[in-house]
Amino acid sequence: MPDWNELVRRRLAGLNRAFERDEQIVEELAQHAEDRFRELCAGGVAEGDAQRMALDETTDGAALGRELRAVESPAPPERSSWRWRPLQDVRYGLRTLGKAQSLTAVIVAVLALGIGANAAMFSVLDAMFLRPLRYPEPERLVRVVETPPSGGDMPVAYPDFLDWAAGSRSFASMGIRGSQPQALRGPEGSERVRVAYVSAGYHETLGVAPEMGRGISADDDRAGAPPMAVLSHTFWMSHFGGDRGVIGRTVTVDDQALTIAGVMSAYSLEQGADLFVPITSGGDKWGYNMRENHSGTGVVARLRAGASVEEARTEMKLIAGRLAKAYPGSNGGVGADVIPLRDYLGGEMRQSAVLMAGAVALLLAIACANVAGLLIARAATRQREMAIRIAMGASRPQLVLQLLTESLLLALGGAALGLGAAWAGIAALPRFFPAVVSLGGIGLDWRVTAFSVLAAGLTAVAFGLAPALQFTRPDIVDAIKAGGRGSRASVMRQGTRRALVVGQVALAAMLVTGAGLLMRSLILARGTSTGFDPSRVAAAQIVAPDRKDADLANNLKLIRDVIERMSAVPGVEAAGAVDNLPFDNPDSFGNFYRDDRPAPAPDQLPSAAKATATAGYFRVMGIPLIKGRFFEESDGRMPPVKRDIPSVLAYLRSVELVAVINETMARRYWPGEDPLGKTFRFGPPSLQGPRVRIIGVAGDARQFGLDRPAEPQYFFFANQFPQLDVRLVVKTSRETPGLAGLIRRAVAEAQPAAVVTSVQPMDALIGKTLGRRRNQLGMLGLFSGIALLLAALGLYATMAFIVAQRTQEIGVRMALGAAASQVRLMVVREAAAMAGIGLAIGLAAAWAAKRAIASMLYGVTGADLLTYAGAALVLLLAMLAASYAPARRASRVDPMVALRLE
Amino acid sequence: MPHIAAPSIDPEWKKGSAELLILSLVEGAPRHGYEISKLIEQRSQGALRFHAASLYPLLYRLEKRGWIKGLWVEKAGERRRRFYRLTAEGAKVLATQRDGWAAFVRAMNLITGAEHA
Repeated sequence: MPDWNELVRRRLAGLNRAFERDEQIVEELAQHAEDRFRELCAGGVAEGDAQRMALDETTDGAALGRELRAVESPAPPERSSWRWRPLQDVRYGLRTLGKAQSLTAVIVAVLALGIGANAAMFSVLDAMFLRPLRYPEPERLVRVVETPPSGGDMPVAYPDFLDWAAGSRSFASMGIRGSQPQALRGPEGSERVRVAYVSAGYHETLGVAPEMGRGISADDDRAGAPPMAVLSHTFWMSHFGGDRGVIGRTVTVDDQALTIAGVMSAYSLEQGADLFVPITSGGDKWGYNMRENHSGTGVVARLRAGASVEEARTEMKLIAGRLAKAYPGSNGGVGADVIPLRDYLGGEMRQSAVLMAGAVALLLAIACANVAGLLIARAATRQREMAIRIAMGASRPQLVLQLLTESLLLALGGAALGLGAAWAGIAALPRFFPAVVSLGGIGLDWRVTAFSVLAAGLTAVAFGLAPALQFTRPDIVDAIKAGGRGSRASVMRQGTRRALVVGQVALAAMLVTGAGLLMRSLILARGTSTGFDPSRVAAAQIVAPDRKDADLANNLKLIRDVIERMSAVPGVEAAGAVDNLPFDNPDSFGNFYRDDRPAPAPDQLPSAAKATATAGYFRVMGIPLIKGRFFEESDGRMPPVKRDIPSVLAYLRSVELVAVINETMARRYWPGEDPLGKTFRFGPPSLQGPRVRIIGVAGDARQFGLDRPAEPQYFFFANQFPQLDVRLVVKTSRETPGLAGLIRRAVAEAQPAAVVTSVQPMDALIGKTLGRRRNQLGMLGLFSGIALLLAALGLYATMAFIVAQRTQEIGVRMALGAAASQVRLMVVREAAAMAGIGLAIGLAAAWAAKRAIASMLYGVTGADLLTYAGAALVLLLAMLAASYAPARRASRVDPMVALRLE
Repeated sequence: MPHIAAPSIDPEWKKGSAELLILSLVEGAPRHGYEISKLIEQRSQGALRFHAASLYPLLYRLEKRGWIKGLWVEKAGERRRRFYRLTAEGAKVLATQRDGWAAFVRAMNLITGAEHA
């Protein structure tokens, strides 16, 4: 008996073996050889031959060595069948998509809508919440505001700002800016420009440097400094054509020559300023020196390195507390707050931006569901391909990756096309979200592009995963054999498609409901009575020449002169003037208090909208007199008053004024009393303002917007109360073309140096205040319209698919005597079931989310049943329309043809 | 056990199916290498033959993957032999491979039009 172990070992010796289980392998192979040897011997082979044959078979040197090395030596794990080959997948995907061009086009278009809308909205959210402001170390920039006892915030009085700057330690620097429209004298007459009054250090605080020359220094910003100005970049370009020789030249503003010291570089917080001048120069002229004056001034500050907003806020509250004690008359109850600059700038638009972002996200979800439905419908035509690839050994992850690659290609195509749409949309967006301009503007930058690509990736998974998983089901071969009909896969596919349609209808229902609520609000707001009659009323802004030594009585003379001239124009029914015109950004609240009672504590001081009007104003506007009387010439007339704050104050302290108050003011402050003949004091007690006697009560008129309630209001008499700018109002008995020209001529004749800056129909002014509402509705309306269209398309495609699959069943029914109308009803009922479920879910979701839109509504709540019913009706009609064509096709099935299909 | 009747089998297919064959052979009872090679030959009526030079490396590979487990068994008066039995994991693999195989056969029939439903 040969030693098989030894024989085998010898045979294997030449293989350079170094295997761990060397001896065991030798033993096992030896056993095999011996078994084989015995078998051969038993079959009659000679022993010598049998031994050689057995050894040869068992230890076929080259093959055995190779195989053993492959198994026994540590080789890299086998994964060739698992590796993802992106390039190959992309090539294959492009080929596949190219074969289905029209489907590809539809899918890319639908995705472009969804991704494009999201990219455009992202640019707004990016500016508001994500992207740093475009200033050096923007996280240190804050807005510091004063807070009145009534809540909210208010502009900062300049003396308070000076105390803040001197007393605070949390800030590296601080700057204040006010703004006044003023007349610029040019070769062709006067022109209105926006003059920004800034403190030295305002631009340094922001980190904005002059483009040329110098900025406003501490030396410029002190009493008695030579008058100077710094041009804004825009103004320099528009008025000097970017001439680099402007430094040292002068501009004449309100008859005062200002030396141009520099040009500022353009920056996002310019807010339309044409010129920058030191704020000290406006101290007396605009009343910046008064602690009571909170008008149009804003403070920005830069936190000291390492200081937090909270620390700064705590410190500012302490300082405000000190000021309130030191100046109880003007500062009693007034606090301070510190707000990160970006939060402050974005604040107002935040809610509608978030709402619109939510709306476009819903839109994208609908687009995804829509595309997923289309891809699943395509499953039927791709089953065979998938079956072959599975049969050829492709693993499921491989196929899913392949299909997701195709989805990604579609989504990237959608993103590319969508970016084109977003580019157009972004240009229009600042109209809807004005705050983005101050935040540095929006555009199609790399961030938006990156967002779109990311959105495309997520989108591809969102719409591609369900179809990919369904395509590659292990039982797909069964599905093919079953002919695609009635099989489990086909039933599931139908189920998925129905669920997708239900989802689309639900999402569309949410958007339509939201748009409906905004529409109801707009309709209600438009239907609100203004309290006056704006028809055929034109308003013109007249700017009187504003010399430093001007006499304010001359302004009155100019107005009276113009009114007289206009009253003589044929067709003019009445003419009047007012300083704070309703619906034209009136910005004047005035404190007052009843002087027949103890003066209220500073934080209890009432305030009301304040205006100064001529006697004819009420007649022009059609504001009714409730009791008492309007103004008469006999109420008095002011003497010459110099145009500076101390002179005006001195005059006011010397007279008793008359006033007409509105009903709201009468009701709120003289409840249950007759206000006629009663008196109040104008201004906070510290102002020692004039006593005012109430001579009449007028009907309420809205001032700030149709969707905002009428505030308490009092009118001073233009003859008594000094005014700067006024709005001339003219009521005509018929449409008067050329009225603007007539007004300009009347003003030019009365005072050649006066400027008419605008003439607008009152209707247009009122309409403008609803602009934001209209914009919001326009946007959400557009989104919900697209959503409705997509949902209808989804339902249509699904119903067409179902009808096609059930042709045979329908044929049988018709052969058995079902009428065409019954078949139609059957199809419509099925569509209605899907639409109904989607609608119920959508309306419930809208109800649950109603608080998101609450603050944008007027006159309705988020739970307005009429709107929900209307939205439901619109959706159901759209869905019925979408199911009409498939229903008609079903009812035209020829029973014989349908049966022959079997 | 799949029925492979064709007298000539494409070597590629043979390779792919060898694992399945071995797993199904050790499913019922533990078997040693020689026995496995004999069974393959018998059951395929001689169409499939594995030489020891390729059979044993394949056994080791399956063992390394944890699908089968080899154990030395000594019997009185005989040399010890290495018996292979199916592990739990191997049983799972066998089940899916069987399904896959069945699907493959059906799919191929369908694609090549061999089956007229």
